[in-house]
Amino acid sequence: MAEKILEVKDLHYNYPDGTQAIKGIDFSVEEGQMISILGPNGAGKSTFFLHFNGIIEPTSGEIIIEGKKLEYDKKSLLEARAKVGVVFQNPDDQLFAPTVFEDVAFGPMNMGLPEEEVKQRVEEALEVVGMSEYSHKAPHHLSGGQKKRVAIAGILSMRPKVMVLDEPTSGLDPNGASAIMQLLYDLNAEGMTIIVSTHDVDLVPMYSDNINVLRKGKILKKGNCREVFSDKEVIDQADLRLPWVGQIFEHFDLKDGRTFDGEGYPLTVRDAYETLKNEL
Amino acid sequence: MSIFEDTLDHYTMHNELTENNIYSKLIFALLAILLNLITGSPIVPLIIFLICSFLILFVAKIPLRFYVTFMAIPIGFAVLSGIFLAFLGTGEQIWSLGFFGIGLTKGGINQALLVFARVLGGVAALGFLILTTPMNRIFAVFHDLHVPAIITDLAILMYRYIFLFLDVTATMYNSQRTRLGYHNYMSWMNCLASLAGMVFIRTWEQGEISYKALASRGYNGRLNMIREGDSISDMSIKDWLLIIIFVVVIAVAIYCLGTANLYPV
Repeated sequence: MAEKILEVKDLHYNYPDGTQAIKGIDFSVEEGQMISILGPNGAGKSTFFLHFNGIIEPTSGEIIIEGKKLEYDKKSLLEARAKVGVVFQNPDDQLFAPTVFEDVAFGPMNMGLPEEEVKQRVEEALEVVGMSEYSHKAPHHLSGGQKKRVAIAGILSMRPKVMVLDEPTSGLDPNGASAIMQLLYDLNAEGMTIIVSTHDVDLVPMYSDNINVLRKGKILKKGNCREVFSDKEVIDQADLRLPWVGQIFEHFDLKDGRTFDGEGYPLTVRDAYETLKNEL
Repeated sequence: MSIFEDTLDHYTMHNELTENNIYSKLIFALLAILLNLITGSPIVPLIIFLICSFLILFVAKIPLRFYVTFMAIPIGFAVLSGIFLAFLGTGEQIWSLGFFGIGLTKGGINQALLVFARVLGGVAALGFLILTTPMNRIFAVFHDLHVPAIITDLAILMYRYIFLFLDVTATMYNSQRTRLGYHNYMSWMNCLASLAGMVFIRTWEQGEISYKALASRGYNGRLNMIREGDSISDMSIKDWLLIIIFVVVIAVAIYCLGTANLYPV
């Protein structure tokens, strides 16, 4: 078993007005995993994520990063934020500098690295997200998808162990969305641990096999795609649905009583193709 | 993106001089403004105006239409103040308004021409700097000049969020008009009030969330930025030579022309 890189123990968080946002979450991430957090709007995903690097201090419970309990003094926070990078949902919240280059350099500069290394890291990060040629542009001259890439580069340049992304595909066109997911998949293949929140049920099965369903501040279910999507009750409760591909097979099953080989319904186009190829 | 296509900000980043050393541009502009101020004849500022306009239009290749709109407001003010100055001068009257003894005087007209020419020259020199230089380079100069970090940090954040809130404002304004806002005077007042109020609240919220985003990347009360500035020592010999030639030419012109004006004193 791989090492646990991030652990959340019995996390509770109440908003200042007393509303319970997080109601006791236990959650752990092993190094090299790619985890999806599925949940409807207002499930507490963003609030949950902001606990990982100490932006929000929990009402009770603890966060453990690489076996070390997170403390809330300046030094430990800085350390935690270099290890766990959070990419915000709206890139406009994150980008602040006059140029792309300066923005991506902001994180590593705060880590106190020498300028030469910062420059090298920035160039590398921009290269990875494919934005090298835009390094001297101003953020307000970029499109939505480009801003998202720059926001990701801004975290990548800090070389965190875990990257947490809040709805990385929201507001992007279909190609942009799959390009971002492919980028995350590649980063994960190179060894980075990635946590993604989303409600795009069609994209999840293609990229992640480790799903947590979050609803009203609680984790309803953990498991792989098959396990989660075959649990109809959980899917309904969390206001999600089967991916379109899965729904076709559900129709075959419920209307014609026709089932195909394999366990559960196929959930991606490729699975469906493999399943149907033999039948037709 | 499209609403920013025709703004000053766009041209600062897309002109032929964007990549030139900022110190060349800065030193040139400051010297031009200084020379512009010590001249006694309206001809010298006009020469400066022509040189700067040539640089802006033909070297930096800023479109003429944009340059004209950029210059229109300061020139408007210069014309207005010129008219007043022409009437308020002293000396021999050449035309009387027939009202409290106010009239055009030779001294007044001389003064008006000088001020008008100086405004043209000064604005063109300043325009040369701000039309060809991206903001981030100017922030880097602030840093080099040891302007207090708090001022530079605030300027950087303001610069970024001006564009964000322009966008927010434009979107809200359009959505109000979609629902028939601004259709008469009272509705205009109401809509504008709620627009202003909402944008204010949005800035507040944005401030909170931006702080969180900055803190996620290790913000600790100071913007540690990498500076993409140029160094004064990187200025090319060509730039130095051009600046020196410019200064010599203008200095000779100032010396020869003295206080030459429309009406000899």
